[in-house]
Amino acid sequence: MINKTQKYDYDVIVVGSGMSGGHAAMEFTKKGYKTLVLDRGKTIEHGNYETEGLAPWQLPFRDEKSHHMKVRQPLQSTKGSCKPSSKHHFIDDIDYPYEQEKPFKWFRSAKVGGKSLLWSRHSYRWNKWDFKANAKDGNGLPWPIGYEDIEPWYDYVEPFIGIAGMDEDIPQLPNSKFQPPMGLNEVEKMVRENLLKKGGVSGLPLARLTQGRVAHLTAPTQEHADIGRGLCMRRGQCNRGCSWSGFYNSVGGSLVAAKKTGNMTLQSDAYVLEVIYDKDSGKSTGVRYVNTQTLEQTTVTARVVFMCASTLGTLQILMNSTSKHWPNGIGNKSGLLGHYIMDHFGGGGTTGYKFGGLKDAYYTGQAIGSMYLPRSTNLTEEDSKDTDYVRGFGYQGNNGRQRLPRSGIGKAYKEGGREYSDTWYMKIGGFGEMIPVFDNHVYLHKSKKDKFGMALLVTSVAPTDNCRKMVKAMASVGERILLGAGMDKVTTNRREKDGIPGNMIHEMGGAPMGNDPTTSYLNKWNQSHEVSNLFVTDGAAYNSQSCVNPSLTFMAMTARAVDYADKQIKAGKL
Amino acid sequence: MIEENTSVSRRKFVVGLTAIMGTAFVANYAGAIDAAVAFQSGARAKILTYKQLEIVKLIGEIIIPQTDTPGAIAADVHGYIDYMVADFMTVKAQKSFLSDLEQLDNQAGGFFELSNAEQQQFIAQLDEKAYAKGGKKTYGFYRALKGWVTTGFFTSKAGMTEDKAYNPLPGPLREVTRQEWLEFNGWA
Repeated sequence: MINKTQKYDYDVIVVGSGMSGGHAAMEFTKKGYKTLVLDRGKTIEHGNYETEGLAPWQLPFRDEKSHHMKVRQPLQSTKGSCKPSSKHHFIDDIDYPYEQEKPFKWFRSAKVGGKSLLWSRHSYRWNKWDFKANAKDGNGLPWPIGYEDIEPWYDYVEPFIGIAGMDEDIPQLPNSKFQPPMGLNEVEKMVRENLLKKGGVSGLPLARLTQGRVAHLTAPTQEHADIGRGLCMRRGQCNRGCSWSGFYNSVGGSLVAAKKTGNMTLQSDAYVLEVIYDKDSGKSTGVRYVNTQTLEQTTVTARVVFMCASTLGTLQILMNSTSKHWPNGIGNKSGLLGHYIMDHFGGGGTTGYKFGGLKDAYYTGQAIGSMYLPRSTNLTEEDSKDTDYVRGFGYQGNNGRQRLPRSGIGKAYKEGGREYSDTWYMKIGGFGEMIPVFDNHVYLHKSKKDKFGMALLVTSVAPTDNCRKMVKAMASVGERILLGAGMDKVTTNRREKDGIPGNMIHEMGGAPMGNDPTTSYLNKWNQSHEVSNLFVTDGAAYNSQSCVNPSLTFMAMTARAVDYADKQIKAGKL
Repeated sequence: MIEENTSVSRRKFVVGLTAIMGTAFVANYAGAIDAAVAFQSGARAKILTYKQLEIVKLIGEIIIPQTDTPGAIAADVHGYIDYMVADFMTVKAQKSFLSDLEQLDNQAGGFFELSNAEQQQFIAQLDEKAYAKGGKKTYGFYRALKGWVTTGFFTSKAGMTEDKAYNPLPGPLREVTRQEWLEFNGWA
């Protein structure tokens, strides 16, 4: 134990065990700190996932969603990935209610490991422009850090996570330290090569296609083998759990590494209600949590508290941590806690068709993650000319070769649908960056509490005009890229209806970083300005959100914050 | 290694896993399978009457017959439909399924009154009309029933393991020859 005094139960408390919490736990325990990890979720036994490997005929309703799921999970079951085979990994909506002043879909995990079991595994670095976006267009609060601050931490976490991808020369999408890519098919190759050859498409010089960068092991290293991780077998059933962690998740990744150190205590069913403040020292002394099974409350103490309970989960706990000194939530001197909430928003579904002309190719196996088309507007003078919005969007999607239709009855029907036609398709959908707006916020209900005693979270987050304009552009830009890259015909979904925030499960913001304590909640090391031993390293700590999937950056940022906290502890400052 | 065609056979599956994972993991994985409660589609007639079940059985087999691989009856498609009507559908959907099935039977003049050839012909004509222009509205029930038969067959053990090779561990994307592709899918 590094902390030689007997003043604390633990050196560090980490609240949450998912993407961020798993990494916080691993980094602290590897450095020798006795670490308590608290997670509200039920315990999960890695390697003993109840639906893993089951075939459709072995699953209820052949794994089709049934209306029964709406009884306990009316919201969670609206997500495509929440099915009979995975629903036990999603939260029970009845036990954990929240209120929507404005519509917001709050998807949450029911298990230790958090959303790291439920994520889509797409992993992209932010770029240098992302950290400058707020300062440049004046939305939200400027970042106190830049790409150069986070770059070494991407380098540090990526080999451990294992991200399959292709090295490219795309300035808006820096390369990670990659595992070998999943492999491109004929239509992906065509689009990629055309975009490279022509230098994007007319007016969009940086339009590109690369392999989806996903946290799957395509060539496991000794480091992976040491914690029991193995080659991804492309089952595509990740959300059920993976006994050999072919995809990255904390349960089979960081938490295994943390456990091996002997320094971690992991407590499931531990719903943290409050971070405790001591006004004499001006620090936190620890946290109070309720056991969700026994309803018994426990207070534990530590030298340092890391909040990694998911963006809104962390904010809820911090706002619920009130005292005479902090009536609006611990450390909330700036009054910004809970403001500037963002989520990516989708739209502009575009499908391109290529009628013949490509190789009659056959494949076995599959590539997880398919392809990625990085942001291509508001980057250069040329691609900013026609935009009526700020920031940008990337595309994910799927593609393949159409099959000949199955029709009629009898043998012909039974055996139809096996043969391919010579038409290939490519379907893309935008992921747009939401600009941070003060009014997009969450707060606690004044009187209502859940059955565990936590004040209900209320959401007041709505898409802005910028979102609407960007959604329109997603369709037209998608059309230009696909046609310019050689597709013969394109259909677009020019839906202009507002998406519901939360739906992309990339909620971020609420505890912004900055150098000035009056205009930010955290300093540039994810440390509370006001309560020096309190850190927030999950999605709450973000001033803006880029348009790329956030989890990789959560892990990198967390590792960076632990490194800083370690140095502060060793310097006697914490 | 495992990239070779993996059959559904548990033994082969486990052998395949051993190749990539080493034995320690196989024990875990096997545990996962054993611990899970597998749905058994054997239970008969949860909601359909004997007659209704038989009609569904006959129609299913006409749509997806036994060939050199099992057909709808061998795949217990009727059991699956009975189960879905009883346990999956809302009460409202259940009621309309049962009355629509009754109507179909009436339309045929009593499905059992027909010879095999007539049954075949009845469904063939119905199918043609249902997928002709404008057929979606009038023949919605038949189209839905065909959908249940199709899903039921292609998600059944027989449909997934005998009509097509089941590859629980698909492995990396590999470009192969057409012959290898046919073999991988069990169609060669």
